[in-house]
Amino acid sequence: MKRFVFERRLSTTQEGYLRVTVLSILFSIFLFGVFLLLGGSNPILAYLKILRSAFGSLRGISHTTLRMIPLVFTALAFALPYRAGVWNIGAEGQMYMGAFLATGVALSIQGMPDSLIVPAIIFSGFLAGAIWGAISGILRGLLKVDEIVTTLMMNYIAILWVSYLVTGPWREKGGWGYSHSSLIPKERWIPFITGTEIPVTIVLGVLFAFIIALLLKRSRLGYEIRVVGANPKTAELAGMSSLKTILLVMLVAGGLAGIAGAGEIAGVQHRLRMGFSPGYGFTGIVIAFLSRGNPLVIIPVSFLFAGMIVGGNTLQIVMKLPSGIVEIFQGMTLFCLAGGQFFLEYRMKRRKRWEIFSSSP
Amino acid sequence: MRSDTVVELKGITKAFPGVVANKDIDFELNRGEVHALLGENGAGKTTLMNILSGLLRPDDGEIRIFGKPVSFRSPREAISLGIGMVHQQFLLVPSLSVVENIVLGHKEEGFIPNLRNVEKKIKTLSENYNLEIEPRAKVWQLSAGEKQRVEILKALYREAQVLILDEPTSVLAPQEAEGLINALREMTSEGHLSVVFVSHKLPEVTAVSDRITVLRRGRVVAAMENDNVDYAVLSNVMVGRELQKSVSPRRREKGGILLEVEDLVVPDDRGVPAVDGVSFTLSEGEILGIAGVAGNGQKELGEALIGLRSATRGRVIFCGKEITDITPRQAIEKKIGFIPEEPLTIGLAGGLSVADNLILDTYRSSRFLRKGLLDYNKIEGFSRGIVDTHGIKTPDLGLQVGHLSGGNVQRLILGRELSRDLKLLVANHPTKGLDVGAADFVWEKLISLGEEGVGIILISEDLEEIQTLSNRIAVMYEGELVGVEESGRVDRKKIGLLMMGVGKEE
Amino acid sequence: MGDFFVLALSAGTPFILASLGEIFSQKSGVLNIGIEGMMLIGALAGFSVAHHSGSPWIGLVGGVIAGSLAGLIHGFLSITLMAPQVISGMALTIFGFGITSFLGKPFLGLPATSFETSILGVTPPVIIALALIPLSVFILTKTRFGIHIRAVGEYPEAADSAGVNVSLIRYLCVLIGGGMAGLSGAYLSLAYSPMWREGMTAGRGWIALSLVFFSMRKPIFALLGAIFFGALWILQFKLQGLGFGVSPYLLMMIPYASTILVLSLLSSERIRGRIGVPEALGKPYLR
Repeated sequence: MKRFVFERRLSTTQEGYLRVTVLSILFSIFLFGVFLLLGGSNPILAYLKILRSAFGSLRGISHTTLRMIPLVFTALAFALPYRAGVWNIGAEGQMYMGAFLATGVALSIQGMPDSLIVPAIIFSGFLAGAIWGAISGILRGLLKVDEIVTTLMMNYIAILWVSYLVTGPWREKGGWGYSHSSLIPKERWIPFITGTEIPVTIVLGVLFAFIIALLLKRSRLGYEIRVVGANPKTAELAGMSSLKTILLVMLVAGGLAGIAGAGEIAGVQHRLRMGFSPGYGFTGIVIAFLSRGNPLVIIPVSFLFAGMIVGGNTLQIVMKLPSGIVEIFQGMTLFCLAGGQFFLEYRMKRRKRWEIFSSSP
Repeated sequence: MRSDTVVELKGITKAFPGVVANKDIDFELNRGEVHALLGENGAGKTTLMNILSGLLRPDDGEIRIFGKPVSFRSPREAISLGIGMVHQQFLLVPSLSVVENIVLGHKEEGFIPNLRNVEKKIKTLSENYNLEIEPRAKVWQLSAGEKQRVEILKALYREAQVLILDEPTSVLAPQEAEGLINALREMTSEGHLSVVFVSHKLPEVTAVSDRITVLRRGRVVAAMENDNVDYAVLSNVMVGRELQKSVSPRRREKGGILLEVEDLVVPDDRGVPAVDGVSFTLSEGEILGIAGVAGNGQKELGEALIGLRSATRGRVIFCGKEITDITPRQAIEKKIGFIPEEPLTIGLAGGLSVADNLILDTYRSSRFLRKGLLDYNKIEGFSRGIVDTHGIKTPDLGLQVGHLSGGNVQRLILGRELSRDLKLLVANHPTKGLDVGAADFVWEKLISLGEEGVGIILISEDLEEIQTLSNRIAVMYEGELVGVEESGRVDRKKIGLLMMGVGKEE
Repeated sequence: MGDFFVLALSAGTPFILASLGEIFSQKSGVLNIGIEGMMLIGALAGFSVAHHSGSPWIGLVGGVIAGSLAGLIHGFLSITLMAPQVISGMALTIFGFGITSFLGKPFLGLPATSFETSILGVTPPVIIALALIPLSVFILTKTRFGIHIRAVGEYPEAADSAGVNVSLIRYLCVLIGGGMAGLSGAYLSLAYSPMWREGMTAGRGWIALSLVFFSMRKPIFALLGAIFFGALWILQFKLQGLGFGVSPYLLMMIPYASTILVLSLLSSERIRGRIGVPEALGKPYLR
């Protein structure tokens, strides 16, 4: 018989969210520090190194911003459906599909005015991702098939599809046996922001974050999304269509992840490669979860996470640490955040023995 | 010789925050008898039985089993002393077989239970007690009656000597209920088993029991042998409370016909007709009270009128137009309002703010829009108005509704529904769980709404509420409307009897 | 053909082991999508324990223990702290990949301490996997533990009221899931392709996860599915050698695509009730 029981907190507040989130992150920083210490490195030095390499120079910030772009999009791709009660863990696959169609358009389109080609590339990324996301949306909305499973499985179908293309029909002829497509012609690259080496997709990403924030908060559609997410039965009573809402959020979410793919290929890597993403789609989930689905919070958090990736990679090289530390830190952060959620919703209470089975009448 | 008294409860008192559920209750169960515990919903029957089955601990009082004082810390201890309870909601795992459900949690069978032996034992038990069941059937294949038999067998298999049945017939078809009553009489006839039969239905109580104890508002108000009991007396004891009228129904001019329901049949979630051929009319400004014990189809009737459930037969005509196949959205557009029984389950979104919840059925109107977006200044102004006029206590409009108290939740949903221009309001238990002050507030609002010409269908179990507010009163019993009458002419006793299935007019 | 079957079985063994474990976990109501991470942890632990002890058998045990410990993290988060199971499982995958890349560096390029015996052309762990199928069926259907697992996953309130310790059963099942995933990983690094390589599970954990849904959580179907997916795994290398024009990547879509198909076909309420979908899957239980 338990001496301690947990009861649901009556109220969760903004300050509560913030406190639990910050404490969770601090705890994971501490845990990771202990880990580094055990591995024979000085954690304080390591953290300084991360900060300096990611944010300490213009070059570092530029790298970090570059990494941030796909993260903003994939985090939004999780956050938007999440607000409607739908778990889209398929951003990785939606991103690959976006990259696929964007590459196809970039490599093959003919007879289009130059000024329209880049928008067409980005839109095709959106389109392919949206279709990929919508499949899971339809299955969930119509047949009640768990979207967690379908979005997860469709990640791998998409990744395999791209692998097939770059090892088969799209493989660069005369390449040195590498699995990638031909280079996208330079005039079709997504242009950089003047004076930097950062493609303009970053602007698009930030813009979308604001648009989605506005949509959720201030539009009738966003209101419907929030009601469906908070209580589907109430939504039905108010005459809202869950199917329509679920389909819509999955379309948009898939499309956003698709833009991440288009942006990564046409803006950064410039050719479709096998496994071109180091799991941006999954890191996006971490970010969105950390931001509690708030699109505006996603922007700074993506920047921090991008910095962590850049800094982690540097750390690996400079301190001669084996690879994997970025993932270790990400995993630890996520563990702490997932666990920390509990203290937000429940409070531990010591009870008298007999109270344990008591409940309301 | 062992004592003839199997269970003895003395001075049991149990309080929950704000309610005294049981006050100084004495209750005795003799060997081989069926002792009925009669009372309205909320009279404290279930609390008392949860105490006897070890689920709750009393604040005060004594429990004696076979003369020995005991103090249960868990249902398990009660089970080991031979007390088995069959809850209103079946606690059976659908994909497991009958046998597997019966051995679930039972340590005696060891790591690899010999299910063949268990099966044999079950067969013997079911033959002895006339509880026919196929032990290998999966529970999902069983009817409600069969599931109940499994629950009873589960208790008997654990060698229960006292069987507590909480509202056992509420889920059964009439024939099944009859079968259960016969089985109970037979089971107790040999004197090994004693039964506590918790119910609010008079006919079955008198059919099954040897003795009857009546609870009202947490106290024992009568205890008697079941011997030529007068229904009228009994029902009066059970529901008879003084009218504390703080609001009074007012005479109104009758308006034109607003709503006509003809021979409506509405299935429940399982597809069984819950509303079974109901017809009535409602005039403008009229309050029609539909009395009845929960589970007799009132919920489904209300849901059909607002488009949450579709009818399989019959017609609904509203303002001269057929609306039988209305959708919830059309219902809102046609100015039909709804007050649900449990707003946080359906009606409100607990995770959203007060303001967001207040615009749930008006958010489509252009008055909240500015440049195509929701204008939260206007929304907050609108919400502030409702919050103030309805006295909703909230620190700010951004608070999540799930954090409001029950009374404030009810005020909020009432405020929302009254904030728009209504023609018809379906109110389902609008004051359930509210204290007197909050209930008075709701009542006054409903009455003034009626005076404005809105037709109201008031679904309630609370006779006082029904009598105070309604112009006409109907009783719903097993999916049918029995006895629609002008409220002035209504005899409270008669309504009580109709609610309990006695004296149904043929 | 017989040779091909043996190859398919050997390639399918990681799927058998990992999905059997996940079947236990899911049947008790805990979704653990961190199989890939637990397999990697098991693979590295198995490899290093075998390396230090000189015995592949002790290595297998090491893999099981390490996998269980990884599962324990998920269990603590999802059962005790009631964390979102998808998030916790994903964290396990990311963490498992990171920690094994980090700690596995010294073992890169070393030869594995592998099994020297083979029985009927397969390594001993394959036989273990085959033996675990009927054992799992037996445990799930005939023992009290199995009845409790199914009850806890489907209707925890009912199990609780009957005196079953819901959390304990779930913990045990998550440990079994982790242990089996660890065993699956250790089989890879000690027997199937005896060596340690970063991320050497190569997505097998995800295939094992999809196999759990594909097989409707039935061990026998999981066996058949594992051989089928194992055959595909082998074919992706063979077909090209034989001059067929089918890309291995297209071939490996089949497990995922067929899982989605199966889930869509089995989505009706009626069928769900029949096959015993753990309705409490993914939902924490608090009395």
